[in-house]
Amino acid sequence: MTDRDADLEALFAQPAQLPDTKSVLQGILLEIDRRQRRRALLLTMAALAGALPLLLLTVAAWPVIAPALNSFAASTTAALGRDIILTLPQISPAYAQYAVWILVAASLLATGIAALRSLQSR
Amino acid sequence: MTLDLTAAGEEPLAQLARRGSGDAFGELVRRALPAVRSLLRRMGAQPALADDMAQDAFLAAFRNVATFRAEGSFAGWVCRIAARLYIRRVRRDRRQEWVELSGEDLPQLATRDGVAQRIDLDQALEALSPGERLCVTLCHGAGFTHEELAVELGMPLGTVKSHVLRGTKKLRQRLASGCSEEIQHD
Repeated sequence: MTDRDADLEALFAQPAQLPDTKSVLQGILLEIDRRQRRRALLLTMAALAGALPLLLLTVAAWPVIAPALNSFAASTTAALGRDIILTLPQISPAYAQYAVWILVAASLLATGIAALRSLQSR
Repeated sequence: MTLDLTAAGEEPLAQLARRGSGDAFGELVRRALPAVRSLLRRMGAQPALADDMAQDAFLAAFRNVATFRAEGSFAGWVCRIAARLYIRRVRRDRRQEWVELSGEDLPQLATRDGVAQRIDLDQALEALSPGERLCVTLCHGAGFTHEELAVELGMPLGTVKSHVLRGTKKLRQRLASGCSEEIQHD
Protein backbone atom coordinates (compact mmCIF):
# COMPACT_ATOMS: atom_id res chain seq x y z
CA MET A 1 0.00 0.00 0.00
CA THR A 2 1.32 3.43 -0.88
CA ASP A 3 1.11 6.47 1.37
CA ARG A 4 -0.72 8.55 -1.23
CA ASP A 5 -3.76 8.29 -3.46
CA ALA A 6 -3.41 9.30 -7.10
CA ASP A 7 -6.84 10.91 -7.33
CA LEU A 8 -6.30 13.01 -4.22
CA GLU A 9 -2.83 13.96 -5.44
CA ALA A 10 -4.39 15.17 -8.68
CA LEU A 11 -6.91 17.18 -6.69
CA PHE A 12 -4.21 18.75 -4.53
CA ALA A 13 -2.17 19.55 -7.65
CA GLN A 14 -4.86 22.02 -8.72
CA PRO A 15 -3.99 25.35 -7.10
CA ALA A 16 -6.67 27.13 -5.11
CA GLN A 17 -8.10 30.41 -6.39
CA LEU A 18 -6.26 32.89 -4.19
CA PRO A 19 -6.36 36.67 -4.38
CA ASP A 20 -3.40 39.07 -4.60
CA THR A 21 -1.12 36.66 -6.43
CA LYS A 22 0.39 39.55 -8.38
CA SER A 23 1.34 41.58 -5.32
CA VAL A 24 2.80 38.54 -3.55
CA LEU A 25 4.81 37.72 -6.66
CA GLN A 26 6.08 41.29 -6.93
CA GLY A 27 7.06 41.25 -3.26
CA ILE A 28 9.08 38.07 -3.72
CA LEU A 29 10.77 39.32 -6.90
CA LEU A 30 11.68 42.63 -5.27
CA GLU A 31 13.15 40.86 -2.28
CA ILE A 32 15.17 38.55 -4.52
CA ASP A 33 16.45 41.53 -6.52
CA ARG A 34 17.41 43.33 -3.31
CA ARG A 35 19.28 40.29 -2.04
CA GLN A 36 21.08 39.88 -5.35
CA ARG A 37 22.29 43.46 -5.21
CA ARG A 38 23.35 43.09 -1.60
CA ARG A 39 25.26 39.92 -2.47
CA ALA A 40 27.04 41.69 -5.33
CA LEU A 41 27.97 44.53 -2.99
CA LEU A 42 29.29 42.15 -0.35
CA LEU A 43 31.29 40.23 -2.97
CA THR A 44 32.85 43.48 -4.16
CA MET A 45 33.66 44.44 -0.59
CA ALA A 46 35.18 41.02 0.03
CA ALA A 47 37.31 41.32 -3.10
CA LEU A 48 38.47 44.75 -2.01
CA ALA A 49 39.18 43.50 1.50
CA GLY A 50 41.22 40.68 0.02
CA ALA A 51 43.23 43.00 -2.24
CA LEU A 52 43.72 45.69 0.39
CA PRO A 53 46.60 44.10 2.38
CA LEU A 54 48.58 43.64 -0.81
CA LEU A 55 47.90 47.22 -1.84
CA LEU A 56 48.89 48.55 1.58
CA LEU A 57 52.07 46.53 1.58
CA THR A 58 52.99 47.77 -1.86
CA VAL A 59 52.34 51.41 -0.99
CA ALA A 60 54.22 51.12 2.32
CA ALA A 61 57.20 49.52 0.62
CA TRP A 62 57.13 51.81 -2.44
CA PRO A 63 59.98 54.06 -1.26
CA VAL A 64 62.18 50.94 -1.33
CA ILE A 65 60.64 49.12 -4.27
CA ALA A 66 60.71 52.01 -6.78
CA PRO A 67 64.45 52.89 -6.50
CA ALA A 68 65.35 49.20 -6.52
CA LEU A 69 63.40 48.55 -9.70
CA ASN A 70 64.73 51.70 -11.34
CA SER A 71 68.27 50.71 -10.47
CA PHE A 72 67.68 47.19 -11.78
CA ALA A 73 66.31 48.61 -15.03
CA ALA A 74 69.33 50.87 -15.41
CA SER A 75 71.83 48.08 -14.80
CA THR A 76 70.00 45.79 -17.25
CA THR A 77 70.03 48.52 -19.87
CA ALA A 78 73.77 48.91 -19.43
CA ALA A 79 74.40 45.18 -19.55
CA LEU A 80 72.31 44.49 -22.65
CA GLY A 81 73.06 47.70 -24.44
CA ARG A 82 69.36 48.08 -25.17
CA ASP A 83 66.95 50.64 -23.87
CA ILE A 84 64.63 49.48 -21.21
CA ILE A 85 62.51 52.40 -20.23
CA LEU A 86 61.50 51.94 -16.65
CA THR A 87 61.39 54.93 -14.44
CA LEU A 88 59.00 54.44 -11.64
CA PRO A 89 57.85 57.48 -9.71
CA GLN A 90 59.55 57.68 -6.39
CA ILE A 91 57.99 58.91 -3.21
CA SER A 92 59.46 59.60 0.17
CA PRO A 93 58.71 57.28 3.12
CA ALA A 94 56.69 60.10 4.71
CA TYR A 95 54.36 60.33 1.71
CA ALA A 96 54.06 56.55 1.58
CA GLN A 97 52.99 56.63 5.19
CA TYR A 98 50.33 59.24 4.41
CA ALA A 99 49.08 57.15 1.51
CA VAL A 100 48.83 54.09 3.74
CA TRP A 101 46.77 56.00 6.30
CA ILE A 102 44.48 57.37 3.60
CA LEU A 103 43.93 53.88 2.23
CA VAL A 104 43.23 52.48 5.70
CA ALA A 105 40.73 55.27 6.40
CA ALA A 106 39.00 54.79 3.04
CA SER A 107 38.73 51.04 3.54
CA LEU A 108 37.32 51.50 7.06
CA LEU A 109 34.77 53.95 5.70
CA ALA A 110 33.78 51.59 2.88
CA THR A 111 33.50 48.66 5.30
CA GLY A 112 31.34 50.74 7.64
CA ILE A 113 29.01 51.79 4.83
CA ALA A 114 28.71 48.19 3.59
CA ALA A 115 27.98 46.94 7.12
CA LEU A 116 25.32 49.60 7.63
CA ARG A 117 23.66 48.82 4.31
CA SER A 118 23.78 45.14 5.12
CA LEU A 119 22.13 45.76 8.50
CA GLN A 120 19.48 48.00 6.95
CA SER A 121 18.52 45.40 4.38
CA ARG A 122 17.97 42.65 6.97
CA MET B 1 19.93 34.32 -29.40
CA THR B 2 18.03 35.01 -26.20
CA LEU B 3 15.78 32.50 -24.52
CA ASP B 4 12.10 33.33 -24.23
CA LEU B 5 11.72 32.79 -20.50
CA THR B 6 7.93 32.56 -20.49
CA ALA B 7 8.00 29.77 -23.08
CA ALA B 8 11.10 27.98 -21.76
CA GLY B 9 10.93 24.65 -19.98
CA GLU B 10 11.74 24.26 -16.32
CA GLU B 11 15.14 22.65 -16.85
CA PRO B 12 16.67 25.50 -18.93
CA LEU B 13 15.21 28.01 -16.48
CA ALA B 14 16.69 26.10 -13.56
CA GLN B 15 20.08 26.02 -15.31
CA LEU B 16 19.96 29.78 -15.85
CA ALA B 17 18.86 30.35 -12.26
CA ARG B 18 21.78 28.24 -11.03
CA ARG B 19 24.09 30.55 -13.01
CA GLY B 20 22.61 33.52 -11.16
CA SER B 21 19.89 34.71 -13.53
CA GLY B 22 17.32 36.56 -11.45
CA ASP B 23 14.93 36.73 -14.41
CA ALA B 24 14.94 32.96 -14.89
CA PHE B 25 14.37 32.42 -11.19
CA GLY B 26 11.57 35.00 -11.31
CA GLU B 27 9.86 33.03 -14.04
CA LEU B 28 10.15 29.86 -11.95
CA VAL B 29 8.65 31.74 -9.00
CA ARG B 30 5.78 33.00 -11.15
CA ARG B 31 4.93 29.44 -12.20
CA ALA B 32 5.29 27.83 -8.76
CA LEU B 33 3.72 30.53 -6.59
CA PRO B 34 0.07 29.40 -6.86
CA ALA B 35 1.00 25.84 -5.88
CA VAL B 36 3.07 26.96 -2.89
CA ARG B 37 0.45 29.40 -1.62
CA SER B 38 -2.28 26.81 -2.06
CA LEU B 39 -0.32 24.21 -0.14
CA LEU B 40 0.31 26.56 2.77
CA ARG B 41 -3.33 27.61 2.92
CA ARG B 42 -4.44 24.00 2.77
CA MET B 43 -2.06 23.16 5.58
CA GLY B 44 -4.02 25.65 7.67
CA ALA B 45 -1.92 28.82 7.44
CA GLN B 46 -3.78 32.12 7.67
CA PRO B 47 -3.60 34.19 4.43
CA ALA B 48 -0.97 36.68 5.62
CA LEU B 49 1.17 33.98 7.20
CA ALA B 50 0.85 31.80 4.10
CA ASP B 51 2.14 34.63 1.92
CA ASP B 52 5.01 35.34 4.33
CA MET B 53 5.95 31.68 4.44
CA ALA B 54 5.72 31.46 0.64
CA GLN B 55 8.15 34.37 0.39
CA ASP B 56 10.51 32.75 2.88
CA ALA B 57 10.33 29.49 0.96
CA PHE B 58 11.19 31.13 -2.35
CA LEU B 59 14.07 33.04 -0.78
CA ALA B 60 15.38 29.79 0.70
CA ALA B 61 15.00 28.22 -2.75
CA PHE B 62 16.88 31.16 -4.28
CA ARG B 63 19.76 30.65 -1.84
CA ASN B 64 19.86 26.93 -2.53
CA VAL B 65 18.93 26.84 -6.20
CA ALA B 66 22.33 25.28 -6.98
CA THR B 67 21.17 22.14 -5.15
CA PHE B 68 17.94 21.84 -7.17
CA ARG B 69 18.08 18.88 -9.50
CA ALA B 70 15.25 18.92 -11.98
CA GLU B 71 14.26 15.32 -11.22
CA GLY B 72 10.96 16.57 -9.83
CA SER B 73 9.18 19.84 -10.50
CA PHE B 74 10.43 23.16 -9.18
CA ALA B 75 7.02 23.77 -7.60
CA GLY B 76 7.22 20.43 -5.81
CA TRP B 77 10.69 21.25 -4.51
CA VAL B 78 9.63 24.65 -3.19
CA CYS B 79 6.43 23.16 -1.76
CA ARG B 80 8.51 20.83 0.38
CA ILE B 81 10.70 23.72 1.52
CA ALA B 82 7.57 25.76 2.35
CA ALA B 83 6.01 22.83 4.20
CA ARG B 84 9.13 22.36 6.32
CA LEU B 85 9.31 26.09 7.09
CA TYR B 86 5.64 26.15 8.07
CA ILE B 87 6.00 23.06 10.28
CA ARG B 88 8.99 24.65 12.00
CA ARG B 89 7.01 27.83 12.49
CA VAL B 90 3.98 26.04 13.91
CA ARG B 91 6.07 23.87 16.22
CA ARG B 92 7.81 26.98 17.49
CA ASP B 93 4.53 28.74 18.10
CA ARG B 94 3.31 27.39 21.41
CA ARG B 95 -0.09 28.96 21.00
CA GLN B 96 -1.08 26.59 18.23
CA GLU B 97 -1.31 23.20 19.83
CA TRP B 98 -2.22 21.50 16.59
CA VAL B 99 -0.43 18.28 17.42
CA GLU B 100 -2.55 17.63 20.48
CA LEU B 101 -5.89 18.34 18.81
CA SER B 102 -7.87 15.20 18.19
CA GLY B 103 -9.70 14.34 15.00
CA GLU B 104 -13.05 14.72 16.74
CA ASP B 105 -12.71 18.48 17.25
CA LEU B 106 -14.25 19.29 13.94
CA PRO B 107 -14.89 22.93 13.10
CA GLN B 108 -18.30 23.57 11.62
CA LEU B 109 -18.44 24.44 7.94
CA ALA B 110 -19.88 27.84 7.27
CA THR B 111 -23.14 27.77 5.34
CA ARG B 112 -24.29 30.58 3.14
CA ASP B 113 -27.98 31.28 3.71
CA GLY B 114 -28.74 27.59 3.80
CA VAL B 115 -28.14 27.31 0.09
CA ALA B 116 -26.44 24.10 -0.90
CA GLN B 117 -22.99 24.99 -2.17
CA ARG B 118 -20.34 23.18 -4.03
CA ILE B 119 -17.85 21.79 -1.57
CA ASP B 120 -14.44 21.84 -3.15
CA LEU B 121 -11.19 20.57 -1.79
CA ASP B 122 -10.43 23.69 0.21
CA GLN B 123 -13.81 23.67 1.90
CA ALA B 124 -13.61 19.95 2.51
CA LEU B 125 -10.25 20.41 4.22
CA GLU B 126 -11.90 22.72 6.73
CA ALA B 127 -13.77 19.72 8.10
CA LEU B 128 -10.52 18.12 9.23
CA SER B 129 -8.81 18.72 12.54
CA PRO B 130 -5.61 20.78 12.27
CA GLY B 131 -3.46 17.68 12.71
CA GLU B 132 -5.37 15.69 10.11
CA ARG B 133 -5.41 18.62 7.72
CA LEU B 134 -1.68 19.08 8.02
CA CYS B 135 -0.90 15.38 7.60
CA VAL B 136 -3.31 14.88 4.69
CA THR B 137 -2.10 18.00 2.86
CA LEU B 138 1.56 17.15 3.32
CA CYS B 139 1.00 13.56 2.29
CA HIS B 140 -1.17 14.12 -0.77
CA GLY B 141 -0.22 17.69 -1.61
CA ALA B 142 3.54 17.79 -1.01
CA GLY B 143 4.49 14.16 -1.48
CA PHE B 144 5.77 13.44 2.03
CA THR B 145 5.78 9.79 3.11
CA HIS B 146 4.39 8.81 6.50
CA GLU B 147 7.91 8.28 7.82
CA GLU B 148 9.06 11.70 6.60
CA LEU B 149 6.01 13.29 8.19
CA ALA B 150 6.69 11.59 11.50
CA VAL B 151 10.22 13.01 11.50
CA GLU B 152 9.21 16.50 10.33
CA LEU B 153 6.25 16.83 12.70
CA GLY B 154 7.92 15.10 15.63
CA MET B 155 4.95 12.75 15.92
CA PRO B 156 4.90 8.99 16.41
CA LEU B 157 4.52 7.16 13.10
CA GLY B 158 1.28 5.57 14.27
CA THR B 159 -0.26 8.99 14.98
CA VAL B 160 0.72 10.23 11.55
CA LYS B 161 -0.79 7.18 9.89
CA SER B 162 -4.04 7.51 11.81
CA HIS B 163 -4.23 11.25 11.02
CA VAL B 164 -3.73 10.55 7.33
CA LEU B 165 -6.15 7.63 7.28
CA ARG B 166 -8.89 9.39 9.22
CA GLY B 167 -8.34 12.69 7.43
CA THR B 168 -8.41 11.07 3.98
CA LYS B 169 -11.61 9.23 4.87
CA LYS B 170 -13.30 12.44 6.04
CA LEU B 171 -12.04 14.28 2.99
CA ARG B 172 -13.45 11.64 0.66
CA GLN B 173 -16.79 11.73 2.49
CA ARG B 174 -16.92 15.50 2.27
CA LEU B 175 -15.98 15.54 -1.40
CA ALA B 176 -18.52 12.82 -2.17
CA SER B 177 -21.30 14.62 -0.30
CA GLY B 178 -20.31 17.85 -2.06
CA CYS B 179 -20.66 16.14 -5.44
CA SER B 180 -24.03 14.61 -4.57
CA GLU B 181 -25.30 17.99 -3.30
CA GLU B 182 -24.16 19.56 -6.54
CA ILE B 183 -25.99 16.92 -8.60
CA GLN B 184 -29.17 17.40 -6.53
CA HIS B 185 -28.86 21.16 -6.86
CA ASP B 186 -28.50 20.91 -10.65
